[in-house]
Amino acid sequence: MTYKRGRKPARASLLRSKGSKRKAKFALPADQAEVGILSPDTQPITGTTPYVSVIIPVMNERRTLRRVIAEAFRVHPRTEVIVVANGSADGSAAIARKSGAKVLSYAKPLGHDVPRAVGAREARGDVLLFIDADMVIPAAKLRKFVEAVKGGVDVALNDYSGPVRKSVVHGVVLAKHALNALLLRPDLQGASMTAIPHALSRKALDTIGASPLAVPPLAHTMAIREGLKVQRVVHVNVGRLNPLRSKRERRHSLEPLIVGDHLEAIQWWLKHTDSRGGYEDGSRQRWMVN
Amino acid sequence: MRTRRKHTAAIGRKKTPARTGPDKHRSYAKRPATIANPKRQLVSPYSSTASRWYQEGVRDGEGWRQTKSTAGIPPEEARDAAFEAWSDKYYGGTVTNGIGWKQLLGYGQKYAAGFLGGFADAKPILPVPLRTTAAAIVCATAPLLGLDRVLRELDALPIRQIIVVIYGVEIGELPEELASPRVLFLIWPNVTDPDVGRALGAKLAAADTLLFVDAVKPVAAGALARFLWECDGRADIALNDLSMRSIWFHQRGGIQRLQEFLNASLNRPDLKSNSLSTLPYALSRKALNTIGAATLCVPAKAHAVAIMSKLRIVTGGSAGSSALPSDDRIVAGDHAEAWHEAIAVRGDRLGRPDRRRNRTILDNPDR
Repeated sequence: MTYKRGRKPARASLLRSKGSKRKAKFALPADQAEVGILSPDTQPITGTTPYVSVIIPVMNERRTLRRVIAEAFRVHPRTEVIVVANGSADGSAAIARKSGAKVLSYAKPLGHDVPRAVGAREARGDVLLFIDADMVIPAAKLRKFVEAVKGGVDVALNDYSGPVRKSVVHGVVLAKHALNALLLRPDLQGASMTAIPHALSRKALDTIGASPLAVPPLAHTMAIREGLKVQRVVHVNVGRLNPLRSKRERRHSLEPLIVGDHLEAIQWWLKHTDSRGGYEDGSRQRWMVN
Repeated sequence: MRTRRKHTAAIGRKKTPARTGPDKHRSYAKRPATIANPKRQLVSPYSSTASRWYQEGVRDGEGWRQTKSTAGIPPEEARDAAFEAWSDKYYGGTVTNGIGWKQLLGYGQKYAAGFLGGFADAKPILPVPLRTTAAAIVCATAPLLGLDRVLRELDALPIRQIIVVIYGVEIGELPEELASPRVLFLIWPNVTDPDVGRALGAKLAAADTLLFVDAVKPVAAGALARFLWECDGRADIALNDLSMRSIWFHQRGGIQRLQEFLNASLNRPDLKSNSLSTLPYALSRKALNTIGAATLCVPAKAHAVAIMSKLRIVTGGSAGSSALPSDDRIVAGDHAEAWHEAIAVRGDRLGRPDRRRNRTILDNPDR
């Protein structure tokens, strides 16, 4: 249990890095060298248990990948970065390897969010952080998710509900809000495991299992059903950070797939409760009408 | 901010003709006519068409009275005759085609006023041209506040039977002002849920169109008229359109989001967040037979069944915001039942298959 020893110094370094973000990247506190971390840009020495596992699905995203991995390594002194390259033909896997990430490579695309599940299976950290390769999110923001898990949250969600100041919202935005309403978690608003970044505790992963992470609304529903602590953490405007996606959205909409995912989640919920989702019927005497 | 300005500009463009004379401050046809406020009229009394219909009403009323031999005709009979005469006029093609809905109601109101002018104790009525019969179902519990006003609005409409289900309380004697020859009181002290009460009422109603209204907050007869009209051979279900109540998504509550997503997941996003869980609404006989009275106990499920049965669902206008369902747990449970039913009928993921994911790789732990 070497990581237990490492926990306290790590938190101290996080506090310091708040003031001087750039410094933290290059100047490492002495106590980290002690546990065997050389530099955030180098792969951690094998045998050291990482504290954070950052999982990044990659599919032809070489443009941003290097920066994304660099930010990921700055999240915590003991970080492993797992890149799941699938259907990548632009050399992103090589870039990832060069950047110090552990790379799982698949020739064919695995499909939406499947790499998250595949990556989670390989993760060794206490905290699993999920991000995307096409969006550079500063390490300072990502750290908030890790800190939330460290503070006892099991599923730390991006406090992002999508564009809601509209009369008719996108189908996925509606589905996310409705699912939370159905799970009696209106406090989550539109926050969901569908959106990155989000972080899981090891306990959450052990409870849910890795496979459901491929269908994020399902994993989200399972986490709430299992009584895990699911919370919104910090707002990362992934809508604004990613203008490329709207282009793809016009070409080939993911809406039916993701709305279907939410229905799959509802279906799972019904299967594991009852036809009323476990909510009592009040005082209805239906037999009177039959 | 920009949206707001745009919004007011749109309203500003709609020019209303300038009014002169003694009632220039009164607005016509802006809000539906209430019988409780007979001064509020649907069309201007100065309109020549309106006075023509009034005169025609007087003529027809006279003519109808002469066919009756006895002097003492019960006002009820005259009322029914006025409704029938107006329906005959409309479907006989006498009422000009292409007039607006409010004009149709307004001229009907004038016609009926003329028709019943010769009867001393006739109450004001609001005829709607109908080819089928209608019943109303009101589900009330103690205290019966507002019920008298609710019934007064219903009493003005061509509704043959008003079923008032009083649930959850022992009632010794009913207040006299509630009595009417059309009202049927069903007292079920051991029923504790209004949805069950409504379902029981629906089961007992003997009419082609069933109008379900709230027992506390009265909805103007002029607004309810549209629901009857829509279900009179045009549609199977007329819902209350509450989509304009909270225009912006972020202002809507969890219940409305569930209703909206239920509609969207059943490929009826055009219904927005409107649902059979909101009063008032009207059902055709066909709709009731298809859904089944028992299913009405769970309004969200009844709504899903209605959509999946391909019943014609429309909105009957925006009839205020009477009691929305309020208990989150019960509404969530009702929607769970709705999706449970939907998945049983339409299959996994409600026809949104996942063809892109390599799910086999997930089942195989060693990649």
